[in-house]
Amino acid sequence: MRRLGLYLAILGACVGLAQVLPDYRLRVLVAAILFGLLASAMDVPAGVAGVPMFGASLPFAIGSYAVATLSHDGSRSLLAIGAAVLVSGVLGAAFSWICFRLHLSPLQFGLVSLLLTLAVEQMVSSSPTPFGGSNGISGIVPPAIIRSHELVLTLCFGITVFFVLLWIRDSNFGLLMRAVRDDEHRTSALGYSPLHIRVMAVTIASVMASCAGVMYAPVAGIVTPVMFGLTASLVVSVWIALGRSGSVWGPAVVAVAYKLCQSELGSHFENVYLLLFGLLIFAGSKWLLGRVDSFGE
Amino acid sequence: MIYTLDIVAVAALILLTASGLVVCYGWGRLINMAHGDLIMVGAYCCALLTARGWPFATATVLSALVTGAVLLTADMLVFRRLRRRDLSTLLSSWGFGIVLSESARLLFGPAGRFVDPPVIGLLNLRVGMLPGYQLVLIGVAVMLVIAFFLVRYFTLFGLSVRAFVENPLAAGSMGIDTGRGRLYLALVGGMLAGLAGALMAPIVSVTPYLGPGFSATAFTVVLMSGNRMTAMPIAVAIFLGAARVLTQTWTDASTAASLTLVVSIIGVLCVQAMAGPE
Repeated sequence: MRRLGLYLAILGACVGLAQVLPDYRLRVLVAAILFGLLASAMDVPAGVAGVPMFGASLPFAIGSYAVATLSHDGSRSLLAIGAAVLVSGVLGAAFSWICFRLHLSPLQFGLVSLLLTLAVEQMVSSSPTPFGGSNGISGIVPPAIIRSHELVLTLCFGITVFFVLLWIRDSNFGLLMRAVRDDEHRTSALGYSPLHIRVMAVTIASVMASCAGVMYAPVAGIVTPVMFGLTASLVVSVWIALGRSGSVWGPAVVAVAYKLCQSELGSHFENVYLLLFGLLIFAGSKWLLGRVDSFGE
Repeated sequence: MIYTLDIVAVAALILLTASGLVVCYGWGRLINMAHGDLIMVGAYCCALLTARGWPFATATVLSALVTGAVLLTADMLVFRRLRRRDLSTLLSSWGFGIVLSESARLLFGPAGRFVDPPVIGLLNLRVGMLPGYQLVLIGVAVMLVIAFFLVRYFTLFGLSVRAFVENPLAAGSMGIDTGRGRLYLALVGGMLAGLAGALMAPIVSVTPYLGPGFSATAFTVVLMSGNRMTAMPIAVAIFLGAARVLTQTWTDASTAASLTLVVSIIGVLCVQAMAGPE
């Protein structure tokens, strides 16, 4: 009941904010919140279930590209959403099922998922015909029905999905995921299948992340293969590590803060911004991870 | 087969690229996401030195030394304080890689540089034509493989490394200095990356963004080698070399790149399944 109240309050705050903010800033905020949604979605396997997904940007980018290729002018948006969710979900489920069936450790699965997203980046950036090649696809427009209010609606829908993720975390299934993370063998001895639980966690994350990606494409207006890349994927792990991994809301806060800083500071320190970021990760990763449990090793 | 020579040449390239990571991760379990960027550092050193007129061989050796020093410094300053098998080395080395590539971009600009190969011209061997420089690369790769084998199994250093990676506590109580051994591994790994970079410089355009591509190849080799680190990388390099050459001959370049990556992923899954979690 308290959570419902919080949800409604946040919804109200967002709608209010949407009336007040100028269009550009609202767009930046909505984009940041969608990345927060990605971080939360990825925290479900990584933090709650103990399965790090280093290829975190893959379902998000699949969602965005699905909209870009199928629903570029806003028509057939349901088809795009369906395709995105289906492809991401099936890919996540199949890939994780294969890996865990082969008894890969969660860390190995994480690394292989990183390779997978790099492979897809390669494929996309060398295919000019459906995917726009290395320049990507630009000029994506939201569906006509919501066109004038698309930012507010995206914001509300994003917040809703976020609360769904919180609900999943607190459900019995969330308990099962934590059980698998903490002690796989004991969970298995109790009669549950760690394989199925992990696969389910990865599938949930993939589906939710692709929803976030679907919403992101019309907001940003452009998709590029870089969205699949190394930086986009690993930065999600940084968000999860900085926010309390396993909390689902922590990584979202960090992601939003990061994206907002990036747009503010990026314009001021554009030249050295990435260098500073690299230095922070390089020198500070022990501190960054010091407060966090290791990823189910 | 007519492709044998091409496959051997590409395999040599892949082996050279991966050699530093084989030492860091394969021998020492140090996850070095900056490996590709270290190769980039080596390539830049070579480019800068040869631009000033230094002979190629000297430039190569110096690049290797400089890159080794760079990784050693990073190891002493940061990596040393992190637990080796943790997520922290992964993130920290990724940050290090970003620092390297951004510094290169700020110092030298994003445009590519070129280095002239020291050996020009095609050689007509009985089995086919091969650029002379690629023969040099094959030669270096072969020497490296032999050196790996000899050091790992016939020297005290190799024995110590195998010992302290497998069981640091027991090795420490036997008197093996774990800390210094790890530093040596970092130094050698860095030097091999620099060597690879310098040797690659004549055949690629040297930009600050060489890193990720080489990292991906190196990690594929290492992950596909399972737990056996001396003979497996050779087999894997030949396998990947064959994949690249054959896909490029039969399809266009972009499909070839994607196919090779898919083959790599399948290969990694198979081998990791057989080798099992560590």
